Amino acid sequence: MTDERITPAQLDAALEAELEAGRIPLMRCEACGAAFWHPRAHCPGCGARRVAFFAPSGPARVYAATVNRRPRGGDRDAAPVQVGYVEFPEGVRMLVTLGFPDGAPRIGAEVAPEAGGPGEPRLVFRPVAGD
Amino acid sequence: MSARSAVAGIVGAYEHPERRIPEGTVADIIADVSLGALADAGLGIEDVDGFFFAGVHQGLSLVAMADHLGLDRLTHVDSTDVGGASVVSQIGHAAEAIAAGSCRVALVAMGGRPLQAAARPPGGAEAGARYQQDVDLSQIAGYALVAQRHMYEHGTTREQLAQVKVAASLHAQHNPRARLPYAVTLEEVLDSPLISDPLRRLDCCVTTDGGGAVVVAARDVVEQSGRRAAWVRGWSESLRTMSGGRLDLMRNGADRTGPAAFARAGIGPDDVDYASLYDSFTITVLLALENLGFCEPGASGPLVESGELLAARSRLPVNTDGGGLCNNHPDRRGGMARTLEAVRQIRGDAHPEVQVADCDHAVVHGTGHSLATNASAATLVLGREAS
Repeated sequence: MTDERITPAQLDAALEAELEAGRIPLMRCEACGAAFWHPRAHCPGCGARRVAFFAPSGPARVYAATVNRRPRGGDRDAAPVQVGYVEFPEGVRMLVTLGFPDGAPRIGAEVAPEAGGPGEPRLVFRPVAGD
Repeated sequence: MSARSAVAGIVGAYEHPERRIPEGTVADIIADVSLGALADAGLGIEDVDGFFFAGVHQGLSLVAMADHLGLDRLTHVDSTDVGGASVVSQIGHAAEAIAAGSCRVALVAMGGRPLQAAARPPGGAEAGARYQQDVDLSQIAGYALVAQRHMYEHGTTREQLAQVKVAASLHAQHNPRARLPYAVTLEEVLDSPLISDPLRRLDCCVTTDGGGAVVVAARDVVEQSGRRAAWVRGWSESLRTMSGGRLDLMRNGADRTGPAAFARAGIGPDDVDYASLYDSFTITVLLALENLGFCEPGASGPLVESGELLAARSRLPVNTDGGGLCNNHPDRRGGMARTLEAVRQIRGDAHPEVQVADCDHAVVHGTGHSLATNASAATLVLGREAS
Protein backbone atom coordinates (compact mmCIF):
# COMPACT_ATOMS: atom_id res chain seq x y z
CA MET A 1 0.00 0.00 0.00
CA THR A 2 1.48 3.32 -0.99
CA ASP A 3 1.43 6.21 1.41
CA GLU A 4 -0.25 9.04 -0.49
CA ARG A 5 -0.31 11.52 2.35
CA ILE A 6 1.03 15.01 1.85
CA THR A 7 3.77 15.91 4.29
CA PRO A 8 3.58 19.25 6.15
CA ALA A 9 6.51 20.53 4.13
CA GLN A 10 4.83 19.55 0.87
CA LEU A 11 1.59 21.25 1.90
CA ASP A 12 3.43 24.42 2.87
CA ALA A 13 5.28 24.44 -0.44
CA ALA A 14 2.12 23.81 -2.45
CA LEU A 15 0.22 26.56 -0.61
CA GLU A 16 3.13 28.92 -1.18
CA ALA A 17 3.04 28.12 -4.90
CA GLU A 18 -0.73 28.73 -5.08
CA LEU A 19 -0.46 32.11 -3.37
CA GLU A 20 2.61 33.09 -5.37
CA ALA A 21 0.67 32.39 -8.56
CA GLY A 22 -2.26 34.45 -7.30
CA ARG A 23 -4.57 31.44 -7.15
CA ILE A 24 -7.30 30.84 -4.59
CA PRO A 25 -6.06 28.24 -2.06
CA LEU A 26 -9.15 26.01 -2.11
CA MET A 27 -8.65 22.28 -1.73
CA ARG A 28 -10.67 19.27 -2.83
CA CYS A 29 -10.71 15.66 -1.73
CA GLU A 30 -9.91 13.26 -4.54
CA ALA A 31 -11.74 10.48 -2.70
CA CYS A 32 -15.14 12.01 -1.82
CA GLY A 33 -14.98 15.13 -3.99
CA ALA A 34 -15.71 17.56 -1.15
CA ALA A 35 -14.21 21.02 -1.45
CA PHE A 36 -12.82 22.59 1.71
CA TRP A 37 -10.97 25.47 3.29
CA HIS A 38 -8.63 25.99 5.19
CA PRO A 39 -5.88 23.92 3.52
CA ARG A 40 -4.81 20.75 5.31
CA ALA A 41 -3.30 17.39 4.42
CA HIS A 42 -6.51 15.40 4.90
CA CYS A 43 -10.17 15.78 3.95
CA PRO A 44 -12.30 17.13 6.83
CA GLY A 45 -15.30 15.42 5.24
CA CYS A 46 -14.10 11.82 4.95
CA GLY A 47 -10.58 11.73 6.35
CA ALA A 48 -8.93 10.65 3.10
CA ARG A 49 -5.34 11.72 2.55
CA ARG A 50 -5.67 12.32 -1.19
CA VAL A 51 -6.29 16.05 -1.37
CA ALA A 52 -5.17 18.72 -3.82
CA PHE A 53 -5.58 22.39 -4.64
CA PHE A 54 -8.15 23.15 -7.35
CA ALA A 55 -9.74 26.11 -9.09
CA PRO A 56 -13.36 26.89 -8.09
CA SER A 57 -15.95 26.45 -10.82
CA GLY A 58 -17.21 30.01 -10.73
CA PRO A 59 -16.84 33.43 -9.18
CA ALA A 60 -16.63 34.29 -5.50
CA ARG A 61 -19.29 36.43 -3.87
CA VAL A 62 -19.09 38.24 -0.55
CA TYR A 63 -20.96 36.34 2.20
CA ALA A 64 -20.11 38.66 5.11
CA ALA A 65 -17.89 41.71 5.43
CA THR A 66 -16.70 44.33 7.87
CA VAL A 67 -14.27 47.23 7.99
CA ASN A 68 -12.04 46.79 11.00
CA ARG A 69 -11.00 50.26 12.16
CA ARG A 70 -8.77 48.91 14.93
CA PRO A 71 -6.62 46.33 13.13
CA ARG A 72 -3.25 45.05 14.30
CA GLY A 73 -4.28 44.41 17.87
CA GLY A 74 -6.25 47.64 18.26
CA ASP A 75 -3.79 50.12 16.74
CA ARG A 76 -5.65 53.43 16.40
CA ASP A 77 -3.20 54.73 13.83
CA ALA A 78 -3.39 51.74 11.49
CA ALA A 79 -5.41 52.10 8.30
CA PRO A 80 -8.80 50.32 8.31
CA VAL A 81 -8.77 46.75 7.02
CA GLN A 82 -11.63 45.14 5.07
CA VAL A 83 -12.16 41.50 5.99
CA GLY A 84 -14.89 39.03 5.22
CA TYR A 85 -16.01 35.67 4.01
CA VAL A 86 -16.36 34.97 0.32
CA GLU A 87 -18.43 32.05 -0.96
CA PHE A 88 -17.61 29.85 -3.94
CA PRO A 89 -20.11 27.90 -6.08
CA GLU A 90 -18.96 24.72 -4.31
CA GLY A 91 -20.57 26.12 -1.15
CA VAL A 92 -17.29 26.72 0.64
CA ARG A 93 -16.71 30.01 2.46
CA MET A 94 -13.22 31.43 2.86
CA LEU A 95 -11.99 34.12 5.21
CA VAL A 96 -10.20 36.77 3.14
CA THR A 97 -9.00 40.34 3.01
CA LEU A 98 -11.27 42.47 0.82
CA GLY A 99 -10.33 45.56 -1.15
CA PHE A 100 -13.32 47.68 -2.17
CA PRO A 101 -11.95 50.99 -3.51
CA ASP A 102 -14.78 52.96 -1.89
CA GLY A 103 -14.01 51.38 1.49
CA ALA A 104 -17.47 49.82 1.73
CA PRO A 105 -17.49 46.06 1.03
CA ARG A 106 -20.92 44.77 0.04
CA ILE A 107 -22.47 41.39 0.77
CA GLY A 108 -23.45 39.66 -2.48
CA ALA A 109 -20.88 41.46 -4.64
CA GLU A 110 -18.75 39.40 -7.00
CA VAL A 111 -15.06 39.60 -6.17
CA ALA A 112 -11.84 38.23 -7.60
CA PRO A 113 -8.37 37.89 -6.07
CA GLU A 114 -5.51 40.14 -6.99
CA ALA A 115 -1.99 40.35 -5.64
CA GLY A 116 -1.96 42.55 -2.56
CA GLY A 117 0.00 45.76 -2.46
CA PRO A 118 2.68 46.76 0.06
CA GLY A 119 1.60 45.94 3.61
CA GLU A 120 -1.34 43.87 2.38
CA PRO A 121 -1.75 40.08 2.38
CA ARG A 122 -0.70 38.38 -0.83
CA LEU A 123 -4.29 37.91 -1.99
CA VAL A 124 -6.83 40.70 -1.79
CA PHE A 125 -10.34 40.12 -3.16
CA ARG A 126 -11.53 43.15 -5.11
CA PRO A 127 -14.93 43.76 -6.74
CA VAL A 128 -15.14 42.89 -10.41
CA ALA A 129 -16.31 45.59 -12.83
CA GLY A 130 -20.00 46.33 -12.57
CA ASP A 131 -20.48 44.75 -9.15
CA MET B 1 -34.50 11.10 25.97
CA SER B 2 -36.95 11.27 28.85
CA ALA B 3 -36.62 13.87 31.56
CA ARG B 4 -35.23 12.67 34.84
CA SER B 5 -34.97 14.08 38.32
CA ALA B 6 -31.83 16.13 38.89
CA VAL B 7 -29.12 14.33 40.84
CA ALA B 8 -26.98 17.43 41.39
CA GLY B 9 -27.55 21.02 42.37
CA ILE B 10 -25.56 24.23 42.61
CA VAL B 11 -25.54 24.75 46.35
CA GLY B 12 -22.79 27.36 46.66
CA ALA B 13 -22.02 30.39 44.50
CA TYR B 14 -19.72 33.36 44.76
CA GLU B 15 -18.79 36.26 42.47
CA HIS B 16 -15.61 38.19 43.23
CA PRO B 17 -16.80 41.66 44.28
CA GLU B 18 -14.02 43.57 42.51
CA ARG B 19 -13.71 44.44 38.85
CA ARG B 20 -10.11 45.70 39.00
CA ILE B 21 -7.58 43.79 41.12
CA PRO B 22 -4.10 45.35 41.04
CA GLU B 23 -2.68 43.24 43.90
CA GLY B 24 -1.95 39.52 44.12
CA THR B 25 -2.12 36.72 41.61
CA VAL B 26 -4.73 34.82 39.61
CA ALA B 27 -4.30 31.94 42.06
CA ASP B 28 -5.29 34.29 44.90
CA ILE B 29 -8.48 35.19 43.04
CA ILE B 30 -9.30 31.51 42.45
CA ALA B 31 -8.76 30.81 46.15
CA ASP B 32 -10.97 33.74 47.18
CA VAL B 33 -13.87 32.71 44.98
CA SER B 34 -13.52 29.00 45.80
CA LEU B 35 -13.63 29.61 49.54
CA GLY B 36 -16.50 32.03 49.02
CA ALA B 37 -18.58 29.46 47.16
CA LEU B 38 -17.81 26.73 49.67
CA ALA B 39 -18.78 29.01 52.57
CA ASP B 40 -22.04 29.80 50.78
CA ALA B 41 -22.67 26.04 50.57
CA GLY B 42 -21.79 25.48 54.21
CA LEU B 43 -18.96 23.21 53.09
CA GLY B 44 -15.17 23.28 53.37
CA ILE B 45 -12.11 22.49 51.30
CA GLU B 46 -12.00 19.05 52.93
CA ASP B 47 -15.39 18.22 51.43
CA VAL B 48 -14.32 18.77 47.81
CA ASP B 49 -13.72 15.58 45.83
CA GLY B 50 -14.28 16.98 42.32
CA PHE B 51 -12.32 19.92 40.85
CA PHE B 52 -13.14 21.63 37.55
CA PHE B 53 -10.74 24.33 36.41
CA ALA B 54 -9.25 25.55 33.12
CA GLY B 55 -6.23 27.78 33.60
CA VAL B 56 -3.60 26.61 31.17
CA HIS B 57 -4.37 29.57 28.89
CA GLN B 58 -2.96 31.80 31.62
CA GLY B 59 -0.18 29.47 32.73
CA LEU B 60 -2.00 28.00 35.72
CA SER B 61 -2.54 24.24 35.62
CA LEU B 62 -5.39 22.43 37.34
CA VAL B 63 -2.80 20.42 39.26
CA ALA B 64 -0.96 23.46 40.61
CA MET B 65 -4.27 25.14 41.46
CA ALA B 66 -5.49 22.05 43.35
CA ASP B 67 -2.27 22.08 45.35
CA HIS B 68 -2.62 25.82 46.08
CA LEU B 69 -6.18 25.33 47.32
CA GLY B 70 -5.30 22.26 49.38
CA LEU B 71 -7.57 19.82 47.55
CA ASP B 72 -6.22 16.50 48.86
CA ARG B 73 -9.22 14.22 48.43
CA LEU B 74 -10.00 14.50 44.74
CA THR B 75 -11.59 11.58 42.92
CA HIS B 76 -12.53 13.51 39.77
CA VAL B 77 -10.77 16.32 37.89
CA ASP B 78 -11.66 18.11 34.63
CA SER B 79 -9.81 20.95 32.88
CA THR B 80 -12.15 21.29 29.89
CA ASP B 81 -11.34 24.52 28.10
CA VAL B 82 -13.79 25.67 25.44
CA GLY B 83 -13.09 29.36 25.90
CA GLY B 84 -15.72 31.58 27.46
CA ALA B 85 -18.23 28.73 27.74
CA SER B 86 -15.82 26.55 29.74
CA VAL B 87 -17.51 26.66 33.13
CA VAL B 88 -20.95 26.10 31.58
CA SER B 89 -19.59 22.88 30.06
CA GLN B 90 -17.81 22.02 33.30
CA ILE B 91 -20.99 22.34 35.38
CA GLY B 92 -22.65 19.86 33.03
CA HIS B 93 -19.65 17.56 33.39
CA ALA B 94 -19.84 17.91 37.18
CA ALA B 95 -23.49 16.85 37.17
CA GLU B 96 -22.58 13.84 35.02
CA ALA B 97 -19.65 12.93 37.29
CA ILE B 98 -21.95 13.11 40.30
CA ALA B 99 -24.55 10.99 38.52
CA ALA B 100 -21.84 8.43 37.77
CA GLY B 101 -20.74 8.33 41.39
CA SER B 102 -17.32 9.72 40.52
CA CYS B 103 -17.56 12.60 43.01
CA ARG B 104 -20.09 14.20 45.37
CA VAL B 105 -18.89 17.78 45.93
CA ALA B 106 -17.58 19.46 42.79
CA LEU B 107 -15.83 22.83 42.87
CA VAL B 108 -15.95 24.80 39.59
CA ALA B 109 -13.81 27.94 39.67
CA MET B 110 -12.35 30.56 37.34
CA GLY B 111 -10.73 33.98 37.44
CA GLY B 112 -8.20 36.25 35.85
CA ARG B 113 -6.62 39.71 35.73
CA PRO B 114 -6.66 40.82 32.10
CA LEU B 115 -6.55 44.50 33.10
CA GLN B 116 -3.16 43.92 34.73
CA ALA B 117 -1.51 42.23 31.75
CA ALA B 118 1.13 44.25 29.94
CA ALA B 119 0.12 42.77 26.60
CA ARG B 120 -2.87 41.00 25.16
CA PRO B 121 -2.85 37.23 25.57
CA PRO B 122 -1.44 35.26 22.68
CA GLY B 123 -3.95 34.24 20.07
CA GLY B 124 -4.07 32.58 16.70
CA ALA B 125 -2.33 29.39 17.76
CA GLU B 126 -5.20 27.29 16.45
CA ALA B 127 -4.49 24.38 14.16
CA GLY B 128 -5.63 26.01 10.94
CA ALA B 129 -4.57 29.57 11.65
CA ARG B 130 -1.27 29.35 9.79
CA TYR B 131 -3.13 28.53 6.60
CA GLN B 132 -5.54 31.43 6.78
CA GLN B 133 -3.52 33.93 4.75
CA ASP B 134 -2.83 36.40 7.54
CA VAL B 135 -6.35 37.83 7.54
CA ASP B 136 -6.47 40.42 10.33
CA LEU B 137 -9.63 39.18 12.03
CA SER B 138 -9.74 40.60 15.53
CA GLN B 139 -12.35 39.26 17.96
CA ILE B 140 -14.66 42.23 17.37
CA ALA B 141 -14.19 42.12 13.58
CA GLY B 142 -15.28 38.49 13.63
CA TYR B 143 -18.48 39.29 15.51
CA ALA B 144 -18.99 42.25 13.18
CA LEU B 145 -19.12 39.77 10.30
CA VAL B 146 -21.87 37.88 12.10
CA ALA B 147 -23.77 41.11 12.77
CA GLN B 148 -23.49 42.25 9.13
CA ARG B 149 -24.77 38.91 7.92
CA HIS B 150 -27.69 39.05 10.39
CA MET B 151 -28.62 42.54 9.17
CA TYR B 152 -28.36 41.35 5.55
CA GLU B 153 -30.42 38.18 5.98
CA HIS B 154 -33.02 39.41 8.43
CA GLY B 155 -33.16 43.18 8.14
CA THR B 156 -31.94 43.57 11.71
CA THR B 157 -31.24 47.23 12.45
CA ARG B 158 -28.39 49.02 14.11
CA GLU B 159 -30.88 50.29 16.71
CA GLN B 160 -32.02 46.76 17.54
CA LEU B 161 -28.44 45.73 18.28
CA ALA B 162 -28.05 48.77 20.49
CA GLN B 163 -31.17 47.86 22.48
CA VAL B 164 -29.33 44.81 23.85
CA LYS B 165 -26.81 47.14 25.49
CA VAL B 166 -29.53 49.49 26.71
CA ALA B 167 -31.40 46.60 28.37
CA ALA B 168 -28.21 45.35 30.05
CA SER B 169 -27.50 48.84 31.37
CA LEU B 170 -31.01 49.27 32.79
CA HIS B 171 -30.31 46.13 34.83
CA ALA B 172 -26.75 47.16 35.72
CA GLN B 173 -27.93 50.38 37.34
CA HIS B 174 -29.24 48.20 40.18
CA ASN B 175 -25.87 46.43 40.56
CA PRO B 176 -23.40 48.64 42.44
CA ARG B 177 -20.61 46.15 41.72
CA ALA B 178 -21.09 46.44 37.95
CA ARG B 179 -18.19 47.78 35.91
CA LEU B 180 -20.69 50.18 34.24
CA PRO B 181 -23.38 50.66 36.92
CA TYR B 182 -25.54 53.17 35.07
CA ALA B 183 -28.18 53.42 32.38
CA VAL B 184 -26.99 53.94 28.80
CA THR B 185 -29.22 55.50 26.14
CA LEU B 186 -29.76 54.29 22.60
CA GLU B 187 -28.07 57.46 21.34
CA GLU B 188 -25.00 56.84 23.49
CA VAL B 189 -24.58 53.38 21.96
CA LEU B 190 -25.07 54.71 18.42
CA ASP B 191 -22.67 57.60 19.03
CA SER B 192 -19.89 55.49 20.57
CA PRO B 193 -16.78 55.00 18.40
CA LEU B 194 -17.15 52.68 15.43
CA ILE B 195 -14.68 49.80 15.85
CA SER B 196 -15.61 47.31 13.12
CA ASP B 197 -18.74 47.96 11.08
CA PRO B 198 -21.43 47.77 12.38
CA LEU B 199 -20.15 47.22 15.92
CA ARG B 200 -19.30 50.17 18.11
CA ARG B 201 -17.49 50.37 21.41
CA LEU B 202 -20.70 50.03 23.44
CA ASP B 203 -21.64 46.85 21.53
CA CYS B 204 -18.71 45.20 23.33
CA CYS B 205 -18.62 43.61 26.76
CA VAL B 206 -16.48 45.08 29.50
CA THR B 207 -13.06 43.69 30.35
CA THR B 208 -12.64 43.01 34.05
CA ASP B 209 -10.38 41.39 36.60
CA GLY B 210 -12.15 39.00 38.92
CA GLY B 211 -13.73 35.59 38.88
CA GLY B 212 -16.27 33.30 40.44
CA ALA B 213 -16.98 29.80 41.63
CA VAL B 214 -19.85 27.41 42.18
CA VAL B 215 -20.20 24.22 44.19
CA VAL B 216 -22.17 21.46 42.46
CA ALA B 217 -23.19 18.77 44.93
CA ALA B 218 -25.00 15.46 45.02
CA ARG B 219 -28.62 15.45 46.07
CA ASP B 220 -27.99 14.13 49.60
CA VAL B 221 -25.30 16.77 50.17
CA VAL B 222 -27.69 19.48 48.99
CA GLU B 223 -30.45 18.21 51.28
CA GLN B 224 -28.12 17.98 54.30
CA SER B 225 -26.84 21.50 53.67
CA GLY B 226 -30.25 23.06 54.19
CA ARG B 227 -29.33 25.60 51.48
CA ARG B 228 -31.48 26.45 48.49
CA ALA B 229 -30.02 24.93 45.35
CA ALA B 230 -30.24 25.59 41.65
CA TRP B 231 -30.77 22.04 40.41
CA VAL B 232 -28.97 21.04 37.22
CA ARG B 233 -31.99 19.80 35.31
CA GLY B 234 -30.46 19.63 31.84
CA TRP B 235 -27.28 20.43 30.00
CA SER B 236 -25.63 19.99 26.64
CA GLU B 237 -22.50 21.10 24.83
CA SER B 238 -21.29 21.20 21.24
CA LEU B 239 -18.93 22.94 18.87
CA ARG B 240 -19.80 24.86 15.74
CA THR B 241 -16.55 24.91 13.82
CA MET B 242 -15.70 26.26 10.36
CA SER B 243 -16.47 22.76 8.99
CA GLY B 244 -14.04 23.01 6.11
CA GLY B 245 -15.64 26.27 4.98
CA ARG B 246 -19.28 25.16 5.28
CA LEU B 247 -20.06 27.21 8.36
CA ASP B 248 -23.32 29.14 8.71
CA LEU B 249 -22.73 32.36 10.62
CA MET B 250 -26.37 32.41 11.77
CA ARG B 251 -25.87 29.22 13.79
CA ASN B 252 -24.08 29.39 17.13
CA GLY B 253 -24.32 25.75 18.25
CA ALA B 254 -27.33 26.36 20.50
CA ASP B 255 -29.52 24.91 17.77
CA ARG B 256 -28.04 21.62 18.97
CA THR B 257 -27.44 22.24 22.66
CA GLY B 258 -30.76 23.98 23.38
CA PRO B 259 -33.08 21.14 22.30
CA ALA B 260 -30.83 18.56 23.98
CA ALA B 261 -30.71 20.44 27.28
CA PHE B 262 -34.46 21.13 27.23
CA ALA B 263 -35.18 17.44 26.51
CA ARG B 264 -33.12 16.35 29.48
CA ALA B 265 -34.94 18.84 31.69
CA GLY B 266 -38.34 17.89 30.33
CA ILE B 267 -39.28 21.50 29.55
CA GLY B 268 -39.33 23.78 26.52
CA PRO B 269 -38.35 27.38 25.81
CA ASP B 270 -41.82 28.61 26.83
CA ASP B 271 -41.27 27.24 30.35
CA VAL B 272 -38.17 29.37 30.96
CA ASP B 273 -38.57 32.24 33.42
CA TYR B 274 -35.10 33.77 33.11
CA ALA B 275 -32.12 33.45 30.74
CA SER B 276 -28.46 34.28 31.19
CA LEU B 277 -27.19 34.59 27.63
CA TYR B 278 -23.52 35.03 26.84
CA ASP B 279 -23.10 38.63 25.71
CA SER B 280 -19.55 39.18 24.56
CA PHE B 281 -21.13 41.51 22.00
CA THR B 282 -24.71 42.63 21.40
CA ILE B 283 -25.03 40.31 18.38
CA THR B 284 -24.09 37.31 20.54
CA VAL B 285 -27.40 37.67 22.41
CA LEU B 286 -29.49 37.83 19.22
CA LEU B 287 -28.06 34.55 17.95
CA ALA B 288 -28.61 32.86 21.32
CA LEU B 289 -32.28 33.94 21.44
CA GLU B 290 -32.91 32.46 17.99
CA ASN B 291 -30.84 29.30 18.23
CA LEU B 292 -32.21 28.37 21.66
CA GLY B 293 -35.73 28.64 20.26
CA PHE B 294 -36.91 31.68 22.22
CA CYS B 295 -37.96 33.13 18.86
CA GLU B 296 -37.88 32.24 15.17
CA PRO B 297 -34.68 32.71 13.15
CA GLY B 298 -34.40 36.39 12.29
CA ALA B 299 -37.02 37.51 14.83
CA SER B 300 -34.64 38.48 17.64
CA GLY B 301 -34.19 42.08 16.50
CA PRO B 302 -37.87 43.04 16.80
CA LEU B 303 -38.11 40.99 19.99
CA VAL B 304 -35.31 42.95 21.64
CA GLU B 305 -36.74 46.23 20.40
CA SER B 306 -40.02 45.42 22.15
CA GLY B 307 -38.22 45.33 25.50
CA GLU B 308 -38.26 41.56 25.79
CA LEU B 309 -34.95 41.42 27.67
CA LEU B 310 -36.06 43.74 30.47
CA ALA B 311 -36.81 42.46 33.95
CA ALA B 312 -39.49 45.08 34.50
CA ARG B 313 -41.51 44.37 31.36
CA SER B 314 -40.82 40.96 29.95
CA ARG B 315 -41.77 37.35 30.37
CA LEU B 316 -38.16 36.40 29.60
CA PRO B 317 -35.74 38.74 31.37
CA VAL B 318 -32.12 38.34 30.24
CA ASN B 319 -28.88 39.12 32.10
CA THR B 320 -30.43 40.92 35.06
CA ASP B 321 -27.02 41.60 36.67
CA GLY B 322 -26.04 43.76 33.69
CA GLY B 323 -24.35 40.87 31.90
CA GLY B 324 -20.95 41.02 30.35
CA LEU B 325 -22.01 44.14 28.48
CA CYS B 326 -22.16 46.14 31.73
CA ASN B 327 -21.40 44.07 34.82
CA ASN B 328 -18.58 41.56 34.62
CA HIS B 329 -16.56 39.54 32.10
CA PRO B 330 -13.58 38.32 34.15
CA ASP B 331 -10.64 36.76 32.34
CA ARG B 332 -12.45 37.67 29.09
CA ARG B 333 -14.73 34.69 29.82
CA GLY B 334 -18.38 35.24 30.66
CA GLY B 335 -19.65 31.74 31.45
CA MET B 336 -19.24 31.96 35.21
CA ALA B 337 -20.65 35.46 35.66
CA ARG B 338 -23.70 34.51 33.57
CA THR B 339 -24.19 31.31 35.59
CA LEU B 340 -24.01 33.16 38.90
CA GLU B 341 -26.91 35.48 38.03
CA ALA B 342 -29.03 32.50 36.98
CA VAL B 343 -28.31 30.86 40.34
CA ARG B 344 -29.34 34.09 42.11
CA GLN B 345 -32.59 34.18 40.16
CA ILE B 346 -33.44 30.55 41.00
CA ARG B 347 -32.60 31.06 44.68
CA GLY B 348 -34.45 34.38 44.86
CA ASP B 349 -31.23 36.24 45.64
CA ALA B 350 -31.24 38.70 42.72
CA HIS B 351 -31.64 42.43 43.35
CA PRO B 352 -35.32 43.12 44.19
CA GLU B 353 -35.62 45.46 41.20
CA VAL B 354 -34.73 42.65 38.81
CA GLN B 355 -35.77 39.48 40.68
CA VAL B 356 -38.14 37.36 38.62
CA ALA B 357 -41.22 36.34 40.61
CA ASP B 358 -41.51 32.54 40.97
CA CYS B 359 -38.41 31.77 38.94
CA ASP B 360 -38.82 28.03 38.45
CA HIS B 361 -36.58 27.53 35.43
CA ALA B 362 -33.51 29.40 34.23
CA VAL B 363 -31.31 28.85 31.21
CA VAL B 364 -27.62 29.64 30.93
CA HIS B 365 -26.05 29.67 27.49
CA GLY B 366 -22.32 30.08 26.93
CA THR B 367 -20.59 30.95 23.65
CA GLY B 368 -16.84 30.47 23.51
CA HIS B 369 -13.98 31.28 21.15
CA SER B 370 -15.39 33.10 18.08
CA LEU B 371 -18.76 32.90 16.35
CA ALA B 372 -16.95 33.97 13.17
CA THR B 373 -14.65 30.94 13.07
CA ASN B 374 -14.72 28.17 15.66
CA ALA B 375 -17.32 28.52 18.41
CA SER B 376 -18.16 26.46 21.46
CA ALA B 377 -21.70 26.19 22.83
CA ALA B 378 -22.90 25.02 26.23
CA THR B 379 -26.41 25.19 27.67
CA LEU B 380 -27.63 24.59 31.22
CA VAL B 381 -31.21 24.34 32.42
CA LEU B 382 -31.44 25.13 36.12
CA GLY B 383 -34.52 24.46 38.23
CA ARG B 384 -35.85 25.58 41.62
CA GLU B 385 -37.02 22.00 42.14
CA ALA B 386 -35.12 18.81 41.34
CA SER B 387 -37.92 17.54 39.09
